[in-house]
Amino acid sequence: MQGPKEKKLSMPLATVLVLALLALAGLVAGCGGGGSSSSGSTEATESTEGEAEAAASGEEKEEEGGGSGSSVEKIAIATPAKANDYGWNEQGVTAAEKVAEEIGAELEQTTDIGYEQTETVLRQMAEKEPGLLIAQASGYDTAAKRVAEEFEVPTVTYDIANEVKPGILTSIITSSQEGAYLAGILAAKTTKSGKVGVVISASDTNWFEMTGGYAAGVHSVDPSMPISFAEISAEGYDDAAGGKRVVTSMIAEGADVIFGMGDGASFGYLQAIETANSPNKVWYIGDIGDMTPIDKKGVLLSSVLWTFDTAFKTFVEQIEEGTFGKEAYDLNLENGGISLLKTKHIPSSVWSEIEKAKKEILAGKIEVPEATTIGAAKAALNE
Amino acid sequence: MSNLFHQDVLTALISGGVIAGIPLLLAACGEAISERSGVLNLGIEGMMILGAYTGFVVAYYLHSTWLGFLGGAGGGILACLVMIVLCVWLGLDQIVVGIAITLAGEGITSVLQGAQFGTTYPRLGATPTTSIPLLHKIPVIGPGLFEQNLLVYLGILFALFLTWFFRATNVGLNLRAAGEKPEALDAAGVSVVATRSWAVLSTGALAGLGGGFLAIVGAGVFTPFMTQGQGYMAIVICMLGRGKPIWVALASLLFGISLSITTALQLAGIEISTDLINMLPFIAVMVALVIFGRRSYLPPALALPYVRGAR
Repeated sequence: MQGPKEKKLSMPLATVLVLALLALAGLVAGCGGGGSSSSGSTEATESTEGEAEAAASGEEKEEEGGGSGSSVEKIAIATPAKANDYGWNEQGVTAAEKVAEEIGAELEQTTDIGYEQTETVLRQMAEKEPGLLIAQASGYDTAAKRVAEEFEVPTVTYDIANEVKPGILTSIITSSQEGAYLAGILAAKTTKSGKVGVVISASDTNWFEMTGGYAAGVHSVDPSMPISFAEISAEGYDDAAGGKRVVTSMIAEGADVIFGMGDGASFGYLQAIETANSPNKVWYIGDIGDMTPIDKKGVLLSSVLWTFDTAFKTFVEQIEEGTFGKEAYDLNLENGGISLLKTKHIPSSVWSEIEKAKKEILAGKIEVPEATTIGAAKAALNE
Repeated sequence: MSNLFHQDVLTALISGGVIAGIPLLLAACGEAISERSGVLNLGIEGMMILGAYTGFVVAYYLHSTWLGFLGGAGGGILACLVMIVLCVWLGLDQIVVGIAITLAGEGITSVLQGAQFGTTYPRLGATPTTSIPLLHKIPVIGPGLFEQNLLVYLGILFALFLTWFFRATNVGLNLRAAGEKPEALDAAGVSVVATRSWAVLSTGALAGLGGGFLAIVGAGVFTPFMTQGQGYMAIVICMLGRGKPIWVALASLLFGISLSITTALQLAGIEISTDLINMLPFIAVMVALVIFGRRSYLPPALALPYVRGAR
């Protein structure tokens, strides 16, 4: 029998071991995927220690006029997940890169920061006095607003149009339902089973809006066409297994064109569609990004793209003109912020009808409903 | 209106529920082994995500589902070695170490996934299934229950085996003694540390296997953070099931089936709030907890490091 001699370990050594493990956990979690991050967790620590310094830099900015009227030499963007998701984060970072290159500005990208350390990371970024700070998540709004006001750095938030502040804070809102409407037309024109589906991975206002727009588009082609709808869970953004499970059931129920919204869960949708045991070919319509590079089995019919280039470029121009933060920016069909991806799988006749509908939306002849709640989205599905 | 009662739809729903329940079942059985031996393993989420990653990588490169499962178990074992060394051998705080393992597991796999598959997101395709003769021909439930990946049946059989193991084997009794009265086990000449080490090792293997199943069969792809708190759910299910493998297995499958019911209710277009529908699996577990929770039982030495001679 051997006794547990290890229990006599001295407490300092034990403490060191625990601290080392926690440090490893924090370090790895903090830089999880942030390969492109130039300000990882190490600098985040410095940020919290340097609040007095930060306040001082804020005062200096005030003297300089809060950034308004100055040219933008540096753009900083913070994203909740890695910028290789073929979606929200990638679109944001790609647009920031493009605009930075265009204007010859330096770009600082801090990716995969999640939602727990937001304010610390944004403070750290604001301390470096970027000409434009992009907080690429509506979940960052509260922290971003606070940091923007304290450091007086022109900051971009999402979905808070009524909280813009001249020279300090602007917000991007979306009319993504317009793109989803076009996707609905495409789905209704493509289905062979006469049934289409829409799946969202979480309770998200933008996705409710797109669900409502999609339903309106489908019903503009065939008012009686049934639309299957399911939400994986309230916060299932990365639930790939849940995505596969839900879409498999949806396909079994007869839907053969599925509009799917949902970060990491999207890869589960793709897997379900690629392995579908269905009499008809099943198509996938994605959202925000373009998954064509990973569509090895040719199931990606289209995607409702969100493109931020023009928005970010506009913000730079507004900063230089001194008009930044006077009103929110609407990402829509008209300014190209929202569009429908054209793939080789879309027949030209169908694309012509989509183009026609797009023109009618722009002309105001078609009014796409804006369903901002799950109730409104479901009502649109059942209309 | 919905085709919900079509055989294919019901089969897909039942099958989806079973597949969703198996990772929980394996991880919760692992947690039961660990808790019975006196080790509260909060790192199970990290072990699952590491198992999901290693399982997916092995399955993807070696084109073998079964080697992938082994890889998943290996990933879980790697993660649990940290817990064995720090908690069982050195007696450090099990809660702190468990949380650290989870954070590290999520971070490490996120980094590796980004470096390796960050631009390709490969999928595995369909996985092989095994049909149980005759039973798989039963309408509706046959294909859903009896035409599954072999690991589904093995997982359920393992829960039965574990019940027998705890009750009828010397090793099982030693393991329970390590959580009940470790000093008595020590006095009987059996190493408490070794017993707990093997228990935690088994937990890691099972949690990793569950994670591997989730990535290989459940999703067919690995994405960061894909376990979505299932490790914590496994801990709850283990406690709800009083550490008894049969109850743990039933609760896991109940949770999985409830997930499928939430999908079914939505596809049926039933006018209930989606938020309420999505609460169903948790409500099911809570109701079961209210019914059975009063008899819940935790080993007296749970989460307490064993130090010979200490009082």
